[in-house]
Amino acid sequence: MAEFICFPALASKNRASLDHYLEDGGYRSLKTALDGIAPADLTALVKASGLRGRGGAGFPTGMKWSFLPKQTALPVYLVCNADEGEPGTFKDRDILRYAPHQLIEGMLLACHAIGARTGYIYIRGEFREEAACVERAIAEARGAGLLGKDILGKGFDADLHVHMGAGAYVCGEETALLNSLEGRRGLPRTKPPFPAVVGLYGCPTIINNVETLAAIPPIVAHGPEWYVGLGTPKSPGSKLFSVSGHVRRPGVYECRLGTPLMDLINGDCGGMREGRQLKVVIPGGSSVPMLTAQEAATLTLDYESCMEHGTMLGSGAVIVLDDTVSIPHLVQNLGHFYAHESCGQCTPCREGTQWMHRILDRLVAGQGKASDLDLLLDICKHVSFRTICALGDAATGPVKSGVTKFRHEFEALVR
Amino acid sequence: MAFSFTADERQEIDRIRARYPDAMSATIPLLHLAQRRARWISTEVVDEVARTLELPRVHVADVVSFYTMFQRQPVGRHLISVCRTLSCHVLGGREIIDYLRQRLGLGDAHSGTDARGLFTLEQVECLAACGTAPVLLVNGIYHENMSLEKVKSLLDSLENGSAPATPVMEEPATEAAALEGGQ
Repeated sequence: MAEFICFPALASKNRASLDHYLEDGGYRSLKTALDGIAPADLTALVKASGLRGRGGAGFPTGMKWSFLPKQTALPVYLVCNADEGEPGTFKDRDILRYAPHQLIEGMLLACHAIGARTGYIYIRGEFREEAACVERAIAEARGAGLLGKDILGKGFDADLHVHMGAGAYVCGEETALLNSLEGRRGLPRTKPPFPAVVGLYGCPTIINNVETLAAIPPIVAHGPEWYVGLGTPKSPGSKLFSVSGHVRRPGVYECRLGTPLMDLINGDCGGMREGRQLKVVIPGGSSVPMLTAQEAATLTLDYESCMEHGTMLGSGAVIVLDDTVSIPHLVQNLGHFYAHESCGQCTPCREGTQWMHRILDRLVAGQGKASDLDLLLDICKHVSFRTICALGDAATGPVKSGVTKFRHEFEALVR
Repeated sequence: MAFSFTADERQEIDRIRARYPDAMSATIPLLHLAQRRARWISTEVVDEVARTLELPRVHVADVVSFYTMFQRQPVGRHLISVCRTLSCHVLGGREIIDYLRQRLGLGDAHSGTDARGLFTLEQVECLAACGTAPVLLVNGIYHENMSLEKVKSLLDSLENGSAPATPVMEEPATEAAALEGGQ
């Protein structure tokens, strides 16, 4: 069963204020770190915890931090990626609303570790109430000497600012986000150089997801071994899962990594709607390959089980759909999404997502051809890994898995 | 129609600019600020933002064209943004969109403004609230766990004014104001 271990404020949903956070032991990790954990040791601690990026890519956080140049005359920036937009994902929204101080503390710890004095929280433009919650928490923290100059009297300076996006899925990609934060169109940048070397305003920059940063205070408080012990040997820790679709109790749940998917669906989420059968699960956000009910039955929520099942843990967005759903309709819906959200910079993605969208439209309208199925798969081949960012590849996830695993449903449309 | 920032807005702009080492970073925040009052981004708004930040107007126009939240045409009194992505779509979002298109008399168009200029419908992609699907925004405010019935009565009340017109949400002008609002 799910339990809120690292994110207790997400259970109560009414302990977002500074007073509540302090009562619950908040900012003690920051004090511990400023009292006696050297920046390099804090990075080592995060590495030892095995924390991986919770925004979707799953890259080891401590390792990402260690890519910063050892010496630099330039300022180092920390950027929090709160551009939550992967379809199915809504966990960061709860952290912004219900645990904003935990995010601030996590960012201050990260600032200490990487030597940053300025952090930006890039929040998707639609999250105005969530941004107001974070602004309120920032003001409280500043008023209490937890943010700004000489934090906790330890001679540590760091400040945080909220920056709102304006509606573009691609800005969740970290280099597109940097361009957006600089006031440009959100086009992903070619890498290398990676942001750790050339990031915001050309300076070394670390970009971490909301959940990743907010997981750091409990890791510092309880130690990396404790965090490792929450998960499996290959997937340490716990993670938030956003469950949506045809379950009785959708919502945000924290699970130890390694928890069986069906425990989450049938336990915490109360199972499927009355009289309906599970048909398909998209376990990690719309970009990852979908699983049939049979495949989902043996999945555990960790990186290695997802890989064995040919899919990914991604952002932990579990979209659960029952037997009322037509797979061609599902794939068409997501095909439209990716065609709409492609930034247009790379030809394979710009053209490929549009072609797939048009082919899916005609298939669903009953005007497709039998050859369209293989044409879709062929387009996927020419989009995947031929673009600057992962959006093109993401667009192929639902198409490839849908057409391959539910081919009979597509064939029925072209008979 | 000419657009220029007010004295209060100029103070807010000073605070915004102080957050960044580079004026260009204030482009999106200033467009949001302008749209809060003007409700859409006209060429006059683009000119004013470019003038204020001393940036080429083509830069500002370029940014406006990239981000879907910037309205490039006038919108009706109430802007209704309905999520069309998967979880909302399968839980009634599609029916809500069809209903609104019909009620607003939009014909085959998937978005647009009704003849009276009261409502504008736009279809948007995932709003990151899939656990409370279907979801829509009215003038930027989330309405979650919607149903066809709830949408009907929401529009009725907005139309006959029996419910207060959903205000365009004001962001707290300063962090101090935000703090005050939170206590």
